Amino acid sequence: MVNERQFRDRLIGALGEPPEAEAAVRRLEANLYRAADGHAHRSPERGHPRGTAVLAGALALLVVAGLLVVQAAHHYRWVTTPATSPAVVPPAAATPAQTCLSDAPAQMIVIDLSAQKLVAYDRGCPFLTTPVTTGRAGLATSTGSFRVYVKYAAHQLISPWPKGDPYWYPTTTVHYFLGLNPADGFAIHSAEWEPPAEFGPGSENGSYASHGDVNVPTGAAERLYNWVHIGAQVVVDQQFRSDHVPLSHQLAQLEPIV
Amino acid sequence: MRSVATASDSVQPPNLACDAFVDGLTPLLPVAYRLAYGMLQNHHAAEDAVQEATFKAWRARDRLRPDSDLKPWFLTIVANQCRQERRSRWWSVVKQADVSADGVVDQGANSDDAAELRRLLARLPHHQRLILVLRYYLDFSYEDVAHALRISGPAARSRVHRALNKLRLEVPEVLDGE
Repeated sequence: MVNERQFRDRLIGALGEPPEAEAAVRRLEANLYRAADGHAHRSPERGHPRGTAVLAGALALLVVAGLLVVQAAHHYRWVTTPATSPAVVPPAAATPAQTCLSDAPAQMIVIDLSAQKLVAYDRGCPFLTTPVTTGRAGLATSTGSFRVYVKYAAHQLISPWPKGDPYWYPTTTVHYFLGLNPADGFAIHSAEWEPPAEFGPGSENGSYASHGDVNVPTGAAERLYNWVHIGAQVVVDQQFRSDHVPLSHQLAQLEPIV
Repeated sequence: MRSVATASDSVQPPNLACDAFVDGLTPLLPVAYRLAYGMLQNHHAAEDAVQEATFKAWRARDRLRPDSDLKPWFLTIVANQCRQERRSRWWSVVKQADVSADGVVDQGANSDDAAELRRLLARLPHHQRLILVLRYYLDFSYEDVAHALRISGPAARSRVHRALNKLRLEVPEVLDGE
């Protein structure tokens, strides 16, 4: 026989206590102001989960159908011309950013300011490409060669500018924080307040331009955070030329800061 | 350039309505998070659900009468968001029901019972899971459950009974007497 108290104890025992509850509540508190600060622009992104699920299902079916077609095409080619049709992707389809780099370190992140793009290279080949938003005019993002020296799943940004200063901002919690320069706080991190469509070319001149950091869409920031190790090289340049110039030569031209 | 912390973004200073909203919701966040965790059995999903619920609460604040209690209103939004999360994450429903809750360290012979209870709970209809989580995981009194669900006290008791019956557990006799 189970009485009410025993059932409660069994249920609490079965579910356990929520892990990291205090940290989660602190993050939620920090984000309350953001919710209340007119960031309703999250709604187009996540406002219709049922519709999104249906769309995702439809896309999944399309992808499966596509894979089957590709597999059938490969099979057909193999049967008809086994020696000459390895089904290679045309080289023209690869953009410079998607090209593997020679003599690259195990992990390297390249940030192209003119294209507002970040490419993470794993053993020289692109692992992740994402649009970003960098520093606004007057607070331009530093260029140079850096190394990730610290990682925080969540980190509070405190304005170094006093209240009333045009650059002042309220204390804000960001996620997937990768610190690059302890001297001035330069970092890569998520920016939940920025709509996904705002990242990318020209965003450094838009209303979501940062105070110098590299703002990355949350999903990409999370992948980056989970992949990168402390010490990974980060190269920030106006334009990264991976197609013609050897990597070692490009890196040598950049002044090491950290 | 910046001197100490970091660069950031274009977040604007909050206004007064924002302050009232934040002040009202801040004390409710721990219970909302625990509710979401009890409903979803996954702390990442729970945090997402509460986060999304705060956005929805902000957008729906005009529909809240000034004399209304914020707690049942917000917990209802959180509960509805949990239902949405389970619907939208259709690919993970089975997984959530079958694996252990991520706050649990199963030990010994009781682990099978615990896993079975989690599975049964996850398979309950939303409204029955909700009432059991409120009553037993959040340790609400029947009056609090009734208040949160905006139903009468006797209705709360009878719904708890029905949910426990659905779990096919022995119905505790003390329920009637309490």
